[in-house]
Amino acid sequence: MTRMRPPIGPRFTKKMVAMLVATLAAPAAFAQASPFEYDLTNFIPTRIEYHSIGGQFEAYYYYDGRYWERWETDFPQAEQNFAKRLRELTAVVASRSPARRRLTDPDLGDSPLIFMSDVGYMRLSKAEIDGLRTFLHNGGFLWVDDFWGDAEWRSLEVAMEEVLPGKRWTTLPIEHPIFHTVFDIQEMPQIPARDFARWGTTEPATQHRYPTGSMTTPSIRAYKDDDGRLMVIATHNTDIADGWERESYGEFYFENFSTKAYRVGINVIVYALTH
Amino acid sequence: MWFEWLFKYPRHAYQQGELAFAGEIGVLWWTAAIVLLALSVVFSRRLAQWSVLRRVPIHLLQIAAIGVILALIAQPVLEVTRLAPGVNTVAVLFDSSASMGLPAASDSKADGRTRQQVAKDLVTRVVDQATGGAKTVLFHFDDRLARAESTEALEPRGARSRLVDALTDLATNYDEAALAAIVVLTDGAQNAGDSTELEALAAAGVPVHPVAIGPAHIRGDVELLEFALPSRVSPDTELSARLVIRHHDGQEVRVRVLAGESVLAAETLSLDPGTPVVTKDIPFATGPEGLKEITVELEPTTEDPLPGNNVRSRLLEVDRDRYRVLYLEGEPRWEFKFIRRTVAEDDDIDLVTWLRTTARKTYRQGTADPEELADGFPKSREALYRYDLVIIGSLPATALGDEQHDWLAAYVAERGGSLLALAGRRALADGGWDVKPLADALPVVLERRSGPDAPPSYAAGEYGVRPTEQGLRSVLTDFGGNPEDRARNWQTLPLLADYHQIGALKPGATTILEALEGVYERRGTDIVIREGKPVPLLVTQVYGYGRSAVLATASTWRWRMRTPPDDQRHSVFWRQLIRHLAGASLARQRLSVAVEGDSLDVRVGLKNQRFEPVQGTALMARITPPEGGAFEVPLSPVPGAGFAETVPVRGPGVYRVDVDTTGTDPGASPLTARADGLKALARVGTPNLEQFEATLNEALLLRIAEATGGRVWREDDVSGLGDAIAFGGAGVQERQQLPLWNAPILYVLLVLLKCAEWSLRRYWGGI
Repeated sequence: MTRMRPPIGPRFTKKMVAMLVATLAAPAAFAQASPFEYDLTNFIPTRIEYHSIGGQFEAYYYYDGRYWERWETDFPQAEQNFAKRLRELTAVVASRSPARRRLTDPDLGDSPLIFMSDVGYMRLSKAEIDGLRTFLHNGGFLWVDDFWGDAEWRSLEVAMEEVLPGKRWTTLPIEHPIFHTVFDIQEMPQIPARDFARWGTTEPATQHRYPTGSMTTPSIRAYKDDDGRLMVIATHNTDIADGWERESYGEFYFENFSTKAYRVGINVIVYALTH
Repeated sequence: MWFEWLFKYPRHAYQQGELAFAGEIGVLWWTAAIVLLALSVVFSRRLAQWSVLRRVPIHLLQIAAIGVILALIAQPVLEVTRLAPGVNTVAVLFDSSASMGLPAASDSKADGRTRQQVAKDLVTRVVDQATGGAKTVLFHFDDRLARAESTEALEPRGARSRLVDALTDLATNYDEAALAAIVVLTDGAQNAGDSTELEALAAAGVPVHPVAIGPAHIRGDVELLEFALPSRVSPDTELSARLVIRHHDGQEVRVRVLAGESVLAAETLSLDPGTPVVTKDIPFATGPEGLKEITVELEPTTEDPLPGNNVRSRLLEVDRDRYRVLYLEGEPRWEFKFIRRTVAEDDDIDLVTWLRTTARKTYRQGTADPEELADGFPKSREALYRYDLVIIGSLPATALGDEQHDWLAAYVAERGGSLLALAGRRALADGGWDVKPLADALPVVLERRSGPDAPPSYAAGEYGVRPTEQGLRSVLTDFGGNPEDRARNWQTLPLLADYHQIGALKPGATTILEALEGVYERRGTDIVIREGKPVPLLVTQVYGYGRSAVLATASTWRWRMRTPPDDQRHSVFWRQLIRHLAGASLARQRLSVAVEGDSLDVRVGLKNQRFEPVQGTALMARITPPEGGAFEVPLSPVPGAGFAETVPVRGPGVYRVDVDTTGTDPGASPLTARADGLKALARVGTPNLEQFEATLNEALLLRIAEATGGRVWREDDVSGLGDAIAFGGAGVQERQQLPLWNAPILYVLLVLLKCAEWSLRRYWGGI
């Protein structure tokens, strides 16, 4: 899913109302879980809940009949579809019910792979930075998806610099094992939101944070640990989770985007489960 | 003393003898009895006015007095067996080991005599006691038993003490005369030979009477009781020397760990007077490869009367011991990832993994070349035998063919490999392994749950973990640090999130860890176990030449993800478990060197890639003595047991042994199973051995006395030793009747009886 740039600046009261509506509209099944609420013998797709800065169309937006916060973009449908395909296509036993967690939750470690979406306006608190740093140092794996252009990349760069100071981002070449763990991927796919898919793969620059810069080249950029293992990957200029969420929106979309999004997703999950 | 005055003979005589009467119970005796009874009846008529309660005690006292008189008339005797005079020998055994040169008292300043001086002073008294009817012969012992003409020339110079061996040798082999007893003057030191084997000594039937000399503790002494170190470690790794220090007064001690002249670690310890035995780990770096002698020295800040027991050495082989581990997994899961990550930290473990990612795809990691595991499971028996450990995860048995199942079972039983089975949806009986040959090798009975409603054996749940009593003694439960904290270190681990119901344990199985299913409580952000029903979690057993283990969980990854990043318990557990199991597998080539007295017992095991014994080859051992001048010795083939030779050596010190096996198995793959590196060190003799555990070993002396029928005597009181020997029951005995008619006790008793009767009658007004 992607967003529409706001015609006017946000107002505080409108934001609060919108947030309340968004909260009430969120599915009740994904209330904060306690330890062991989930069957930890399964792979549990876990979405991270975070705060974004700005007002309407920045920190939140209206789409499909309700307000959405940035963190919940594509959630939970993307994870539900992806878990189903994981069970069908691989030997991974994935939970059908995705979890959602904050980076400060004490049981964050029960999901050694966490997923963050639409991080272009993300702002992490000190406690969240500390929580994410501990998670990553323990061997956890973070996947960031669905952010486009230079300004949104810079936003993630600044946030992650506080989490792991001194780390440098590396763009993974297509020869990297993550592209070949299960499927042999020869080209990093660019998955657009459904609304733009009919005109191409690159989303319009007006939909993203300014300055957008180049949005034509999708890539996986990564933080590596001292042993060369991936700790954080960022699928930039692409919306892999949208490819999962929209699989049933039409034959054209499924064949051109969902299949590629599943191939990337499966490879990333199996890589995280093996390295 | 009073006993012998009253009863005329020593206590030992009464303990061993029987009471009897020498005189006949004839006319005279019956006449006396009748007369006495008649007199009693006459006198009793004078008491007719008394009540029954008063008459009965008087009559009883009178009858008792009559009884004593009648007993005297019957001539009482004590029938005993005692040493026959002139035909028996008592051996006096003198401890001439170096520990007898140490102070006899706890405080050497208060009594400056050595233990040997005390023993020499005692010898005359002991001989005087022992010669009541027997001659004495003098022996001395340290590492060996020898005859001594006198004590004058004996000096405390023996480097070792073989007390039990010396006593057994003397009791069983002395044949010059009948041996009635052995009196041994000793501090009880036993630092060579086996002190627990007392059966042979007891069976000789000769009572041993130890005379205990020496203090229970030595003031100011700090002793390095133990210094534990693995025999083989990797280069440039950190290792801990585990020290056990005994002290009595509490003080500061400087500890140094040395390799030759190089100081590897130094630390100052403050010893608490309330904790006389302290265990402490001193970390140090192993440094580069090589065979090394590691020495630990204690330097007390105050004067130490026994500085010789402050130093111990251990031999350490620093070498790269690479283990090849094969992990077969049928399901991408977090346990797989975190085992791989942990093992990646260990340069000595090569982990090769084969993971089923989809129904038709697999993913290999850690392979040495493109051919390794190219067909999935190793394609030949030899290829499988190259691994030291095989781990099987959640993989259905149908993933392997019948021949591969046979190889796997033979891998444990015949090759001597190690196997670890993990929990999982498709593991153990749920994976169909219960009907495969490997089931015999596992330490648990695999039981398949049948029926449509049968719950799976593997399920999610909350489980705490604790070591069993045996587990607490196993290296597998040791996270390092203070040994007293071991149980607590397990208790504070995050809970496991799953458990695999395993079947009954086989008779040879050992449970190392238990899972606790039960009551939990939340402490802060953690859930900890309060109590619960224990179920086996980590079980091991020896099977054939190999070893197998079952770990009934696949959620130890929580120990990594739910603890702070610097918490190493997950890593330590897995690395130790893998090293322990892989290290237990048989190596293709093995060298062992044992010290037997003044000889080296060199043994070499040599096998080919199928782990069949290599025969028809010649092997040479190269021996390098401490002073240099290496020499070669041919090793003799031993049918079914490799090659061996006993090599005499010239003196104490560290000897190096090297065996060159080049060319003995030309077809061996470079990916071969671990070879121990055929080189070893062996130390002949231990410096200052007699200064260790140099206090009086009273416990051993009591066991010896109890086992042989003797008694432990103190240096300040050996009176009674002669009687104990005379009536000890050993040697040539004769039967004697010792008259008791004049034993003072009988007359004292008679007087007491009559006095009691007189006193009662006077009190009741009958006189």
